[in-house]
Amino acid sequence: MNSQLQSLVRGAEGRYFHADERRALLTQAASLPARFQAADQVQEHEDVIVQAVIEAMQQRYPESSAIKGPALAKTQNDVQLVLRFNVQAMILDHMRWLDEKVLFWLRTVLAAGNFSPKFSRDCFTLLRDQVAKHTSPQTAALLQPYLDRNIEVLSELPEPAATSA
Amino acid sequence: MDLWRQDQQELEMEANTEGLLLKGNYFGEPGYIEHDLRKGTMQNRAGVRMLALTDDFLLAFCNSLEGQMGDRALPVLKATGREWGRKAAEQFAAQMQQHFGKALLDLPMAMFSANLAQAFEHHGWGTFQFGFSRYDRGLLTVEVETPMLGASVRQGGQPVETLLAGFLSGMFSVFSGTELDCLQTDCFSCGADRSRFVITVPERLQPLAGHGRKNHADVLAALEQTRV
Repeated sequence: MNSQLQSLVRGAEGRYFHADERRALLTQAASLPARFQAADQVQEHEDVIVQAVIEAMQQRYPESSAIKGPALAKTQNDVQLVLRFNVQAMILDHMRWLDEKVLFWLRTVLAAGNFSPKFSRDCFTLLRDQVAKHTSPQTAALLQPYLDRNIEVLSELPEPAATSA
Repeated sequence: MDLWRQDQQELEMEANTEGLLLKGNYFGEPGYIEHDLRKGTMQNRAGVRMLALTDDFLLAFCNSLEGQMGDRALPVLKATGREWGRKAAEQFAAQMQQHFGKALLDLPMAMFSANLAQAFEHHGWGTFQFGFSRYDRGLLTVEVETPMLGASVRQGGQPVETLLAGFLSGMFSVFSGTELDCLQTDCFSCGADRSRFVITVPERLQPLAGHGRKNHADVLAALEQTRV
């Protein structure tokens, strides 16, 4: 349940829902089929989307150790993980859940791995762009706030002393 | 991640993702801590019973120990922290293995560091940053913003986080498979911007035990001159 609905429920403690509160809950429930449809589209195209991101990053950063050798699989996993959590957060309509469950943690992992802010910004901007390319406009629109949030949080990295990427 | 083997020239920091389960933050809410209201208990995700303590308790505990035991309080606090840290390290390793599908020692270093920082953060200990850049010289550093004790006491002239120093020494002794010690070098309660610690083998820290007014940078410089 997203934080807005959680606030709504907390505010209604000890009484029945008012008409406008019921409408908000029912509207949220009614949007679920479209959200699951969007999720299905992303799932169907996940491999193509992630591969496209990696290939584009390999072209932009040909010397980066993060996208070749043993580290390539880790970077691929990170992109895949973020995309899956984006879809879950979209279904739940819960941005804070995305922050708590993956973005703030992954930011720490990337910083510890000496990733540069630019590398991270480029990678997750490509993710947003590839999702838009391989899914319908409606799906891309539903996911855009979460894809934008990836870029915002994951590019807030300190400049590393020595870069992996 | 065997940091302390004499014959090891380089620490392997390459990511090793074979068999790594695609999982997010183990400590991310909601779901890390659950309450059983019928029993009045609180458990973490691994089923370990937890208890919420305020900094009032910590202050009372430390002050009472000092009042009752004088100079002997610090070794008791250090030993308490050390035993606690050992247990915490064992639990952390088990939780990470269960969550990510790989032994803690086989996780990429960046994930180990990030997960450990998240563990401290989600238990309310402050924001931790682990420094491995001097591992080849047998030194680890830890920086803590808003440390649980250092941020709660009045400003004074002495480091106050002996419990945490003990905790870190016990914890990293388990991780490394070697007995390590930890010295607090900067203290938030002494006016530093954050608390800092250095972890290494005890023989290197013993000469610096009463390091007086030496700050973190000076202690590191002195340690880098020593070898065991």
